[in-house]
Amino acid sequence: MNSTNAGIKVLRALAKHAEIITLAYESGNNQIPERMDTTKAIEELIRLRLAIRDESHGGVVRLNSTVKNLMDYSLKTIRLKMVNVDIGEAVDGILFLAEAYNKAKNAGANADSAKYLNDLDSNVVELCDSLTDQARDIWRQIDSDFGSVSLLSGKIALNKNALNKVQRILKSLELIDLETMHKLSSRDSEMRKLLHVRLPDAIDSCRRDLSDAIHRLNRMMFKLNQLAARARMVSQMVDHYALNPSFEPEDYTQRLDIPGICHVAYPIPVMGMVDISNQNMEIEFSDIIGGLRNEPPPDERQEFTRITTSLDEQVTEQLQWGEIQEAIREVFLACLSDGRTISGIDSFLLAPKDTDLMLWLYALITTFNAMSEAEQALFTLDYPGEFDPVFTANYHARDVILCPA
Amino acid sequence: MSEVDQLTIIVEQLLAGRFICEFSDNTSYEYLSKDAYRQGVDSFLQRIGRRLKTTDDKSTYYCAYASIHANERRADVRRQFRETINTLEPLCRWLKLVMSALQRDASLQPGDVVRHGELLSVLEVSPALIDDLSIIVRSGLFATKRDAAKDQLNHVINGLVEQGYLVRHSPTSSVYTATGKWGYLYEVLEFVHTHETIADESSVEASTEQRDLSL
Repeated sequence: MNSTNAGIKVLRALAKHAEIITLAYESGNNQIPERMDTTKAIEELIRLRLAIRDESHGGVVRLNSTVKNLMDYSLKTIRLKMVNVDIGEAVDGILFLAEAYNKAKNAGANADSAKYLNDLDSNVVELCDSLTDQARDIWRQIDSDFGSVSLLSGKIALNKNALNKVQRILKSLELIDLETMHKLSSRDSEMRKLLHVRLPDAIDSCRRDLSDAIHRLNRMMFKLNQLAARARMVSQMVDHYALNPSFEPEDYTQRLDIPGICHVAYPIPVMGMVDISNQNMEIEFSDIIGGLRNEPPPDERQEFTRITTSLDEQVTEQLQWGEIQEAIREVFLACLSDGRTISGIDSFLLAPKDTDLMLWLYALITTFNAMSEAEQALFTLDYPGEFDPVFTANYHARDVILCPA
Repeated sequence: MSEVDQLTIIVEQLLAGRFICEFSDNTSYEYLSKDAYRQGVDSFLQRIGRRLKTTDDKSTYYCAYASIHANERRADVRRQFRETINTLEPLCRWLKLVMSALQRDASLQPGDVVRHGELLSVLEVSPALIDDLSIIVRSGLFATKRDAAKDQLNHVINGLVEQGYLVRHSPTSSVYTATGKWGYLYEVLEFVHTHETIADESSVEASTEQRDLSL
């Protein structure tokens, strides 16, 4: 919400609750009675800071002094208004009213004493409100980090200004002569409520808030000064490098006692392998792949010949059995038809001319291995021989024996 | 993640020379913010001749040697310090460039946000800042042969991310956050500034000019 809308909202609330506000103003004590029908109105007025719940006065709801002042001003109310921005003057005014009240009371001028007491009450309440508001203003500035300005120098100036203001208020609080007030009010219960309880409570609360504010402002000032010093240091270093291009700080690690700032450990590579399933490495992997693609591919002219993929005519080709295959087949057939055991070496007689014996024997084995399970079930191959006496994992076969199953 | 896993990650990061702060790795930073866990990491590092150290404002953790009496340690310390010193000039120039570009009177601090687009838009209309940038990339930490200001800016920002001075908000984002490593850099700067008695050159120049005029 912008400030225009917020302002309109406040004025509308004043209009909406005009009756309640006026009744409270005219009551003399500025209090708003809490009833069922005023609950929502009170909530809204408190939220907009047009009314306050006075915890130090039994939690009653009363108009904010600012609203009361507005009414005073608009209605030209004649009131002995003593509250000033200067706390000292406000206190002087309160003391004056207290003395006047005592005198009127002692003289039996009841109407005057009632009027003085009413004005005294208003002035004490206004001073208390003023103290609370001033502390709140300071804290509002602190909480916003002096957000109205962006420049560091502006923030520093605002911080200094706030610090001065806080110190000024604290000094003013010290000047309040509570002892005299106590003396003046000791014989009257109404005045005691105001000057023994209410005002000292407000002063204590304000002092506490402002002490906290000073602490916070000093911390902020330290930080702001540090930022300003860093900025200045950076500028000075850049200027120094510009004017002295060969500038190199001393090697402080050569000193016997090496300064703590130089103790930073030299990094140790702790990862030896790439974890390709680690999703956190995805960016690095993508970079690597991206980098690989940055390499232009070699400029190789790719020459090719188009081949047709159309299948116009399918020609079935009959594969012819080789001579060895034919002979091996004959051996297997003989084994099956005669039901006899055939030695591979003996059957070598059937092999084609110029065939090597080892090739023949291997042909027997591979033909058997290449058979389907059903065909293999008709035969068994046996390898008579013995294990090597030294290298006992080696088996020396003397022959390959083909047997019917 | 289990406590042991977290400890492993933190120790590996520290040994790899990383600076841990709330902006660079908030999980690890939160872990180290707890006394018991921090002491656990510290005692682990002490077993291998190192210890956990923080910047002056306690906002950033890093690994330092527990003792540097051995000659080998001294050589490592020297090597590390030399690397840091070699980065001072380009980093200071970068800080000054950002201050000028964004018209700030405060230099970049941990937690500050750096927007690539914002910097580029200012650079594009400011020849003086482009000159400053070209000095930064001429040699040393950010050296590159790229001519275009945009490429040079990308190169410097990527270098800062690689060095741990900036963290990208997301893998595709062009918005970055400054980390606590700047805090350490400012401490080194302050140390050098104090011990090398670096004067305010601008005021020296001004006073020289004034003297010349009065003569």
